[in-house]
Amino acid sequence: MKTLELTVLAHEGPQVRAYLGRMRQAGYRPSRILLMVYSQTPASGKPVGRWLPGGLRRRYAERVQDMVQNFWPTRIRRAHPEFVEIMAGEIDRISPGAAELIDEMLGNFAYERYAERVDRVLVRNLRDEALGPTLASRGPGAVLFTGGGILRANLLDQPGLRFLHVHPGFLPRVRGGDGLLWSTLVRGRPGASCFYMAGGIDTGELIATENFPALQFDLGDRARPDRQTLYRALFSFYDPILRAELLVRRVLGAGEDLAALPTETQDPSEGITYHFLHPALQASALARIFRGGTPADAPQ
Amino acid sequence: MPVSQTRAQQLLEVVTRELPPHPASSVDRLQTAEVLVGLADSVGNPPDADERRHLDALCRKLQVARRVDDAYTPSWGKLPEATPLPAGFWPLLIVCLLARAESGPEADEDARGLALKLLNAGLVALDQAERVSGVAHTLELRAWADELVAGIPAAAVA
Repeated sequence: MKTLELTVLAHEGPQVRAYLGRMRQAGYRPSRILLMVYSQTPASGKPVGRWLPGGLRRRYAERVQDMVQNFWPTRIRRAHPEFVEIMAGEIDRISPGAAELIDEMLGNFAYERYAERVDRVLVRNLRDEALGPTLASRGPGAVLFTGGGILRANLLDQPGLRFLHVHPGFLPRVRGGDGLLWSTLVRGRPGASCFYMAGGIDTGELIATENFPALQFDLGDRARPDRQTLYRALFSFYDPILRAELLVRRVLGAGEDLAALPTETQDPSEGITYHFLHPALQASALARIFRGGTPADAPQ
Repeated sequence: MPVSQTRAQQLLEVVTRELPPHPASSVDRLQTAEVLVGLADSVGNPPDADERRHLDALCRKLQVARRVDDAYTPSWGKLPEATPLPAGFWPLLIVCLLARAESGPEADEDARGLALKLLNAGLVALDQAERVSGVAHTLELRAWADELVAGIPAAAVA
């Protein structure tokens, strides 16, 4: 196992688990994971376990966020095991070992198995003032961003830190939200790009870009999950594994210093910045990715 | 002329005829209605850089800010005294987006992407317009948008 000089800024959920699991499959492990434990629920902003003493509160909040952030992948696999098997079989074409990776992501996931050192920090969100100094406490280096919101100056401006991000779209052509679905509609196949984060939306210095083969999940005559489940399934399995594959295959082995990899500058006037898809266009994109299946309300 | 292009022209004529009066833009105040009239004049032609900037800004207002105001700063910043775009201009806003939401088979990737982005914004605008009291033609506009969604061709693999 090769230890990389890399801090993973962990936002609990399928994406960070896909990154760590895929790294382990490829024989890599980061030197440090900094797991953000949210002291407030993201949806309501209410404090989690406010009545509990410090250490106990953090453990309770970690347990709560595990359940919340992994709710959809867990529920989808429990309710539609064959559907997830079909997805895993197809994703295997771009990321061999996808079924095992999904098992690992949804299993008893212990961060300590994946890094030399795991730190936990109780924060309100990514803008929390405690986060920057904690992240910078071990000196300069590369940090893998795994989600949780928009990264702002409190972190981007920390001296010596460079944030790696994998975007699910071929840059500079596809910027913005719902990159996987926009790529399907506009380019006929998915793409992914890794860059050093900067102030704009997906405009940082490019490290690697890749087009992947178009995947289609053929549901045959099985029950077709509803649109929300299909959408959630993409972001529970397909999207995180696609990003992890690019990271492992094209970035982690590209140089010894992950904070100083060779880059290309993007031309901000090229490509299009997309916004999240309206449900009507979302359904159109999902129909291109998930073929067949019998709708639940179809006559028997 | 494709059916949807004919429909675009017909709806454009109707909603332009019904437009309420509106003030002109000034050095420090961009009037949304005036921008829409300008965009309507160039329907049928690929947008130039300035039109593209306005279309991008309208998409952002609809989808990120989730509201469209009657006026902005010249760089599409928020004005403290701005009020929501009046109902009489919503049909023109939607036509300006949907009329550019179809790309021909010869369109390159960015032209196709822009067309779909504008269709997406047009659908969002329709949803918002249906919540504003007194917006005309929403049924015809909805039917047109549905037709455009149904006609999205498969993308050539890039």
